[in-house]
Amino acid sequence: MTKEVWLKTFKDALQKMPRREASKAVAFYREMIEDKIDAGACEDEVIAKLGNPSDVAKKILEENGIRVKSRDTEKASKEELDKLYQSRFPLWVTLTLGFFGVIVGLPIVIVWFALLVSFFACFVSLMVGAFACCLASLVAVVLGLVGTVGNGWAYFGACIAGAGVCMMLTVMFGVLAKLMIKATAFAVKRIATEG
Amino acid sequence: MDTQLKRGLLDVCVLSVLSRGESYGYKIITDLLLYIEVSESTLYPILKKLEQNRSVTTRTAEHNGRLRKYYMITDMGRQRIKEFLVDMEEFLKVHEFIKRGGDLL
Repeated sequence: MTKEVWLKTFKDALQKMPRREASKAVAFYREMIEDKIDAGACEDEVIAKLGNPSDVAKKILEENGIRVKSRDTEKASKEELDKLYQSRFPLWVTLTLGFFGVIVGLPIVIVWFALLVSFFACFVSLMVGAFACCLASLVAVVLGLVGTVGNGWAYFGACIAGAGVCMMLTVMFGVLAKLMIKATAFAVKRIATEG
Repeated sequence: MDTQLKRGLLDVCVLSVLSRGESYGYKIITDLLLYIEVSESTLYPILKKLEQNRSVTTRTAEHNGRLRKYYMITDMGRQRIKEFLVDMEEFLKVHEFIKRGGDLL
């Protein structure tokens, strides 16, 4: 490895540091290498003695409180975590839980969702129907189709009342749905944290 | 030497080298070589720390067509040496005590 390659690798490894600090470190090592070569040492020897530029950089980063995760430690910590999980929950527990989760949980979720959708559809269609009736009765009033004019107005009034009730129910249902979703989320969270 | 002990000593060693006059990285290492071995990766954080706690100031000057950073001791740095010597006096008393095998005089 030449001096320039070493310094380039070193600089790249310091990327997590503020640029000013990194270039200070690079300048320090450049000066050191060049002074040693000026003093009569051979470039290869100087570079070899400095060691791996990534290791030197890692040390500096750590002194600056920047945690460096090499691939090895990352892998190790993942393995440790896996081991921890496995010691707390043997594989069969995890698998059984997963199995029951899918068998029991999925239908519940589907039914829950279907219930929500159908409720919503019911109320919305009722409301639409009520408004349609209102409109129809108005048309009937205008055209004088429903017996006397008074009957048409009564019909219209009843329809408007129906539409109003449906609107209220829709709003109530909206609130109810929200509560149901919140309750589900809360329950899932509790189960997840306690598990 | 114990690394913990060495670390504490090195700060003052570097300051002592600088108390004779300004110096630069490579020269500091070679000046200290007779007494204590310092690698560049050990020296770098020491110089950085001394600069941060204002025990030294720096200037960059051209040398042989390249840049070199010179370090100079400050009054605060000299004060640190003095404090170290006082602490060392205390330390030596304990050292004597340990050497005597814990015998009181």
